[in-house]
Formats: sequence, C-alpha cells, structure tokens
Amino acid sequence: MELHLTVSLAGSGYHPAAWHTSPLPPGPNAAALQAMARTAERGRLDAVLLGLPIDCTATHDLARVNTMQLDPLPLLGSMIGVTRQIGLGAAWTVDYTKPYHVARVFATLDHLSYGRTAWLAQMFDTAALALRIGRPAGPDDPAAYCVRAGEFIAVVRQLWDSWEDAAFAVDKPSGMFVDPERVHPINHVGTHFSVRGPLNVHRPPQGNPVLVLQDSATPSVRHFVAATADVLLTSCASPTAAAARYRVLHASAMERAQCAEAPLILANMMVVLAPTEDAAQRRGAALDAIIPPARGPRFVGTPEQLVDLMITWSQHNACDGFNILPAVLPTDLDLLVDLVIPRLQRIGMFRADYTGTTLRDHLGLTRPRSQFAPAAEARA
Amino acid sequence: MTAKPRLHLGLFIYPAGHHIAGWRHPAVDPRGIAGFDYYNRAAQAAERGKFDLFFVGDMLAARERDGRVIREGGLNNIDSISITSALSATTECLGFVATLSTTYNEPYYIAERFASLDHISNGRAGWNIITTANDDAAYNFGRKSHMEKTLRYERAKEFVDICTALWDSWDDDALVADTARGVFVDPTRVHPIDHRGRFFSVQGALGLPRPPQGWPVLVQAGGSPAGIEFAAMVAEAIFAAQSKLDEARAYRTAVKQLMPKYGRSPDTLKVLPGLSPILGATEQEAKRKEAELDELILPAVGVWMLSEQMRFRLYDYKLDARLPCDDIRASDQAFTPRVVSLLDRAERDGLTIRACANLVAKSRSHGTFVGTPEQLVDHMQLWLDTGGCDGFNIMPAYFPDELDVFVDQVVPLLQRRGLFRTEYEGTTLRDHLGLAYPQRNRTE
Repeated sequence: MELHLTVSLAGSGYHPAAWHTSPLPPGPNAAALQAMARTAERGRLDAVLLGLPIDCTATHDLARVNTMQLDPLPLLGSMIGVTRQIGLGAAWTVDYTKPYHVARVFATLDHLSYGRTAWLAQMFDTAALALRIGRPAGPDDPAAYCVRAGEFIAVVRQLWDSWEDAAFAVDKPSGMFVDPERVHPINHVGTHFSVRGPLNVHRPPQGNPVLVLQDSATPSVRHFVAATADVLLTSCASPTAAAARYRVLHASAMERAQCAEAPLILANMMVVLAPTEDAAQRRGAALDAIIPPARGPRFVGTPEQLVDLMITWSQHNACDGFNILPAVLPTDLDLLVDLVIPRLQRIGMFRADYTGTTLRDHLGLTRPRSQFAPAAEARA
Repeated sequence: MTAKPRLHLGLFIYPAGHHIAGWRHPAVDPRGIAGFDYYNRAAQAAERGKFDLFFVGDMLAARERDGRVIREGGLNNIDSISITSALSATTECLGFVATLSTTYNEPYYIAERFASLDHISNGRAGWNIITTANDDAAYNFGRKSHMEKTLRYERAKEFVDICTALWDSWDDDALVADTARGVFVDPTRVHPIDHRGRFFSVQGALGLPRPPQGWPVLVQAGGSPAGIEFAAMVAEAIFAAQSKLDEARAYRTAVKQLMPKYGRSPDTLKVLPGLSPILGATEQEAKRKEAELDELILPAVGVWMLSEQMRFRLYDYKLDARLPCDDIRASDQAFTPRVVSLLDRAERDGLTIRACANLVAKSRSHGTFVGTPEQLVDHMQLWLDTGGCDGFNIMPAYFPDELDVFVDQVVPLLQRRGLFRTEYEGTTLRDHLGLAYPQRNRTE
C-alpha cells in the first residue's frame, strides 16, 4: 500500500524547544519556509500544511517557545510561485471569519496554484484570540458548536459550487464571458449565517479545495469531523489505538449522506531523526531537557526505524498516511526527505513521482461535481 | 540639468484588461486570467519597467443585473492578498498594494495579514483601505443593507487606528532568542493594546514582530467628501479617479490642504490617478486600435455600466432613444460629479443611450489616453508639472501586450527625460514612493 505524506511547517519546528537548535534565524523567515516547501516537493510529499499550532501545553511560559507564525494564507500564497506540484494547505478558523471570505480566498488560492490547495478548517479557537477579535468564539457546547461549524462549511462548499464548471464560458465570438444560466445564487438563510451568493470567483480547479479537519476526543465532534472532512488528522499514541480510531471514524463517515467517499486519515507524528539511534535519542533528550515534551504521538529514532513504524501502522490499518511534524526545522524535514522517503520508495510504499497535477490527484480524491449541476441539467 | 526623478508608477492589474471588452481582443487568452502565470507575467513586466507598485482591487460580490451575473464580463479581481503574496516570491523590488475592506473584516486579522505580507515581501506591502461601495456585498455577509457612508468611514478610521497600534505593539528588540536564559520573546517588550471603541474591542498584541516598513504603506481611493477627509487623515498614497487635469489638480489640492488639520505635511502624500493608455506608433494607429476595441463592446454591457453609474435602470429604454436626462434627474439622488458632467453633455449634444453607454464602457470611468508613446509622455509630464498628480496607476486596456508596450516604449522615454528612475534605489515600497518610516505611535 502506498502511503500519503504531508508535513506541517511552523516557527522553528514542532518541539517547543526547537528554536534552541534550529539553524534558522529567529525572526519571521518566509524564504526559509519557501525553501522547505521545495524540499518537501523534492520528496514528492502530498502537501505542506501551514498554521497548525505548536502544542505548548507542557509549558506555562510562552515566552520560552517560538509560537510566532506568519499568517498562513499569505504564506501559502508565497509558496505557489516557487513550487509546481506539491499541495499547499493553510489553516483558517471557522470561529471569527465569514464563509464568503473563506470561499473566496481559497477559490483564489486554488486558481493561482492550478488546483493544489487545502483548507485546514480550524475549530475551537483560543480565548486569547477571542479578545483580539473582540467577539466570543462559537457556542461552548461541542454539539452546538459543530452545528455552527457544519453550517459554515456547507455554505463555503455551496459558494465554491455556485459557478458550475461550464459557467466560465469565455466565448469571444458571441461575447459571452459568463453563462448566467450556470451561475447560482445560493440564497442561504440559516441559524448562524445568511449568504446570498453567488461567489465572484469561478469554480476552483479542484471543484472544492481539499477540506482538512482535526480529529477530536469528544465523541460528538469526532462524529462531525468524520462526516465532513476530505482529510482527517488524528493523534493516537499506538498503532492499535489508531486502528480502533480509524474504524470509528470510518463508521461515522459512512453515515454522511452527500458523499460516498471516505475521508483519508493521516496520523500526526512528531519526528526527531538522526542517522543512528544514539544520536536521535541524544537529540530528543536534549530538546526535552530544555522544555518538557508536549503530549501527542512522537517518534525518536533512525530513518530505518521510522520506515519500520510506518510499515507497522500500515499493517494495523491505523491510517492512510502521516502528517509529519518535524521537531526541528529544517533539520528533521531534510532527514525525512533525504533518508526516509527513498527507503519508502524502494519498498513501494511511496510514489516515485507525482502522477497527477492537483492535490486531489495526489490524495486520490475525486473531484466533486457542483451541487447545482444536477438541477441545472434537469431544467435543461 | 537633470531633475531628480519624481514620477511614481503603479500597475493596476485586472482580469484580461481594463477595457471592458479587452477579453475579446484576439491577442488575449481569457482562460488564464486566474492562474499564477497570468499575474506573474504582468509583475515581471512591471519590475522590468521599474514600477513602484503592483495594485490589486477587491470586490465582495458578483457583478449582477437583476440577480443574474453579467453575461458580458462578470469577473473582477480574485483575492488581492493571495495574488500579491504569490508574486512577492518571484520578484525582488516591486511593491504590492492589496485592497481589503474595513466594512467586512476584523482589524486583528487584517493587521496580521498585512504584517505577514510585509514580512514575506521584505517591506514591499501596501494596503488600499476601502469601505466597499457596492450594496450587494451586504447580502453575502449576513447584513440586510449596506452600512451608511458616514458610518463606514468612522468605522474605517477606528479600524486603521487599531491596525497601526497592533503593528506598533512589538519593540524592535522584543525578539531576543536568548538560548542561555531560554527566552525567545521578552514579554516586557511586547505591549498588548487595550482598545474599546465604538465599533471594535481588541485586546492583545500582534503575533509577529513589527513589519519591516513599520506599517505597510496606507493607500486610499475614495473621492467623496468623506473619502477626501479620510485620505487627509491617513493616506500616504491615493489611487485617484480624475480624468481631467483641472479636476485632478483641484482634487489633489483639496486633499493636501486638509492634511495640516490632522498634523500632517502635504509632502507625505502621493496622488496617483488611474490612466488607461492605448498606444500606437502613430496617432492613426492608436486610434485604429481604440476603434477595434470599441467595436468589441456589446451594447448590453455598456447599458449595464451606465445604469450602475447613474443608479437608474435604463434596461427598458430603447437603445437609440435619447438618454432620459429628465427622468434621471428626477430620481433625486446625490449624483457624483462624473454623472452630472455626463448628463450635461448628453443634454447638450442630444446623446443616445447607446452613445452614453459606449462612453462609459470604454473608459471604466478613469482617464484614458490614445496616441503615441511620445504624446503620452508629454501628457504625463504636463500633469506632473502642473500639480495634477505625483504619478499614475497604469491601467492597460488588455494584458499583457499593452503593458509590454508601455514598459518597452513609454518607460524609456520617461527615463530619458529624467522623470522616472532607471534603477530601484531602495528595497521597500516606502523607499520607492519616498515615504518616511512611521514612528511608533504608542500611548503608554
């Protein structure tokens, strides 16, 4: 089985002490992040994911952690022109923005990148952000929260679909730039949002940019994300736990009405790599000694051992692939691409080259039809 | 004697071109208008031409008539931050001005977005601050009607004040990255703001160090009395819309005269009117090109643009009937000077709806120029020398050919006359525009 692999990029790396050993200068450094996106592309990874927060729960003193992140949307934008094939995902909250903005920005990014983008829809944003925005977050009750988030995402998808593929007619002889019959106001009036539409961007190359959601320990939230996402990120400590979670998520996903496709499940894994096990353990211990490790699944070892772990998880049906959180950037990303990927390729567990052009192609996800297409066809 | 080059040039990108029928021109490939290559092609040309900046507009609703998207050209610019951030990675000196609305956004996000764009581009970002003029946007954002204009500008002022305070929230030495003490950011050197105002309540600090330019360049485009007042308060550059020299001069003078009231020197503002040139080796060739383009305008699109501009439905009138000036005047609105002048002209010359629609469609209500590169340079110099502007925001009729003509034939003439730079002298947008770096404006 071939794995899917994504990598998350942030700050100096995903270990809270990463900045102590990262060779990167401490300030915001888009050029370094762009170079990392190219490294990931050289490794034929499915996508880079931007804006996934660093888990700082193990320390109370945020001044000791590099949590600084460039806004993931312009950062994603800046990677479009310096990469050609790799998928590009960015986090944007459903709490403090509007569906029209999200639909428009991701439609734009998907057009600019010729179909390579993913929206990591961030849920349950922090109280600090609430103060900065000046409004409370969504409802406290998880189930009620998910109703609102579900309405938000459904509106975004309707807006992406509001232009049928054939709506962008550009017929010079007749002067028909747009076929108005194929552009649909969505006229959404819901509990939380009211949006007339249509979007003012034609349909994105992927139809809908890929939607990524994080798994949750709360059952109602887990059920919601499984039934909604194209790609799910899980955080399980062992392959057996992950396999159990995988079955639960798939069962939830199957209950969703509108889509026959099960979501891809990628396991989050922080990695500390080194050519020898001793060296890897020393690196991990040195980082942990500065700031205690955050919770969450973590691997410390050699490239061979990481390949073994991936084989084991795969044999357990624990996931469809991994979202790698490099402990230190760019160190652990470079080791992943230079030493882990070639081993995976050699045993047929990872693509030797991209076979498609869009992120949906890389992930093996189908391109959805516009929700408005069947009704329009029936009318015709 | 050679004077110091003082002309500033922006490139206003638009899908296919600024001429409403530009997309139908044989040289244009309209299918590509949303892909990176389309924008990058134009940005590379602008940088080759040593332009100060690359300008992207913003709209938050589809262009419609009676609830249907306009058939003859229903697309406007896609998201400006996405375009400019993408281009910042493939250019080195060109500045970028992205447009975002203060009516439909939250200040914290916008402050962080522009701080990021400024960091990503190493100090080349500008923000065109708009309050969004079209009513349709309201329906896409859960509002029953568009916010009233005075209120919009009050909100905009509070919005911008919050953004500048957030940009100033980090001291320059806040990022210590001291491995010995284990301190990455010194919390005593990051100063959260505590804003409680009429429209917003924002508490906290920016998540990033101060942008390389201090603040991105603040740009504005409104021409109404409220817009002029706002520009005098905050704008460092204005994208203006006057198409006649005397109007441009009056506008520029009016804004600059208001600036001292807000403690600002009139030198700290650059006014760049839009200018849409159609160029030919001879005047006849330019006129022929213009006629070819105008041939491509479909009457329906012109009538739509005319109706929108006059806020008066002309769809049920006969195309070759005279413009119903009396009915339009009787609709009792506060007409813009542009509409008043068109009504006067239509009455005087007995213009038909078709004729008026053509006039509106071809200019997109900005200045146009048809002639040779030499003539255009004369025109630009006259405006510059007589106080009409500090430069121009160039709006090519169609991309990329007409942009290339400007870059390859007009820019060298401007340089030869000493009006325009031959090389970039600085690295930031503030450097290009000759604007000072803002001091920290913190109230302790």
